[in-house]
Amino acid sequence: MKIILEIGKGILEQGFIYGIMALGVYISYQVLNFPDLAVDGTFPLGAAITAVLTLKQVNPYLACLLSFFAGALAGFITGLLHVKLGIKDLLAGILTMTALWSVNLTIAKTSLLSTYGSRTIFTSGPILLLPRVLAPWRTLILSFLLALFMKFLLDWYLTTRSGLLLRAVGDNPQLATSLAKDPGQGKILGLTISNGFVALAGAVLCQQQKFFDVNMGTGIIVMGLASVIIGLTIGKNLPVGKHTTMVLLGSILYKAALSMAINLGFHPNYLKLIMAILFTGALVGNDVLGRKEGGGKGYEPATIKKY
Amino acid sequence: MNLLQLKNIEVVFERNTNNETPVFANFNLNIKRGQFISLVGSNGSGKTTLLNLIAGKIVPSRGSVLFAGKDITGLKEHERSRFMGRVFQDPALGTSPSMTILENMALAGAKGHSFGLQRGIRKNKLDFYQTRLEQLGLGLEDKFHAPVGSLSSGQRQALALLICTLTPIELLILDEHTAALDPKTSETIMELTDEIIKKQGVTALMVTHNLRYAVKYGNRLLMLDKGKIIIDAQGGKKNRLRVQDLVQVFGKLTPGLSYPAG
Repeated sequence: MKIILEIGKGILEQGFIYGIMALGVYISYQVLNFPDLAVDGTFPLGAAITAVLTLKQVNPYLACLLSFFAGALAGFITGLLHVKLGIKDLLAGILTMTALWSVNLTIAKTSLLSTYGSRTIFTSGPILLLPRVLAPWRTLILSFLLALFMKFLLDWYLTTRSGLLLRAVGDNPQLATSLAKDPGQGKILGLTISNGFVALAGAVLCQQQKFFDVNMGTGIIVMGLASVIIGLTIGKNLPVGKHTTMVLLGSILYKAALSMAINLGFHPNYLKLIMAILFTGALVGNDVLGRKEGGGKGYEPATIKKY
Repeated sequence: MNLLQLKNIEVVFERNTNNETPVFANFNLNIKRGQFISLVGSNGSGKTTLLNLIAGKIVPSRGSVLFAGKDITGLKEHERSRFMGRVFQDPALGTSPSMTILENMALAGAKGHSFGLQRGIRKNKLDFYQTRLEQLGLGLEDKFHAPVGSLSSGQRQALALLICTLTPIELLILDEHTAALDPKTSETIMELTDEIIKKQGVTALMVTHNLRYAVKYGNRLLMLDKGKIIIDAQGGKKNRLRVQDLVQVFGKLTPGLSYPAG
């Protein structure tokens, strides 16, 4: 019983932390209609910056904030590559991702950097105000609150004028042009925000697991997309305002499925293979469900974009 | 008073290749304020290129585009959108399908203002949107929260027209905007268009393959062929023009092919 509880706790913690990343992928993939592979680089970028900063005794919350901005800058660059230099969306993301590999190594100065012993948001600051009984749940509570905060922040943003325009840019760039706005600028802005979210998730994960690994970004895009697609498949008929909740739920379900596979006794070497199979399952599931409801022909509120 | 002037325009597609296609050479056109022009011509005559030139989607290799006396040749498409609007043949291009009618209206209402972090949908604007939607007479005012993608093509095109003219513009470009609709809906949208143009007194340029519309609506008719204006009828001359006259001209342009009179 205790083991099951521990596993469940782990799934939720990871689900919420990676959920912040999935919210970022939701912005680029679903809102902006831009398959941004750079997140494989921005996720460890956030972690690298946080690792270095927390080791230098910088406030861990400030480290998170700075990681967010670093990720945002990386997203901004992907946007510039795509919009100003006319590089295809997939390729622009791959370029940034490739460059970030070196950037991340330069920042961390090593491929594996332990932050053991440094202050984190889970071991210092406001979280210590919680009663002592809840101490084992600190990580879960804080990651839940953070994911929730980012979700509401994104929800709020998407109802502002700027957010509405962003959605229009992803939906129909011509409409943005007709509104006397440059859709290219909208794309850059969206990628900036999206990668900020992703880097923040990397920063939080780094503080939770207490190390930076240059490889920790591999497969992040698959994880993010799977979360978005699982979430939106379940919440197909929900209005846009509920999408972010479903994305977080998708992230938890994805982590649960992965954890289940590992606990069934699969060797960790199979992890990425299982990830890919789960992702395929999510895509096909989305298709099958869509067909059942007569989708494909008409309009569906939460149509998953495909490339 | 000229609202729009095209001066000595030259447009060549795929220059310096085997497919080099000259569309316009030394093309001139003046559009006066208050004119409602219907523009006809066979495929490849340069109608769409002309609209793209005016809207800023393509830049002429020579010549200039003047708007209200100002040179706007170098102005980008989205910058020109501040004073001109365009309704496309494809109803999907004029709206955002995953967003609700209300959200689309809110976006349209914000045109010309800053798109910052202020609330996207303002409660005090709801009545205004409601009234404008009621004027369409399609019952869209009861579907505020329906995603635009769930509407019919006709409803979407009507909404696109409304969105395009919600904030004041000086030139309305209609790019075969009824071509994708069934005859009855097409009729409704055309009447709606005429009504909006008259009510707002906006200058309009309409490309259409429907010769009946070209003759019935507007106060000036242009026919393009191979990048040249071969008919320019205004006032009484335009009023006397009949569909058969246009069909005849078309017949001479492309011998052996009959043109649908619409």
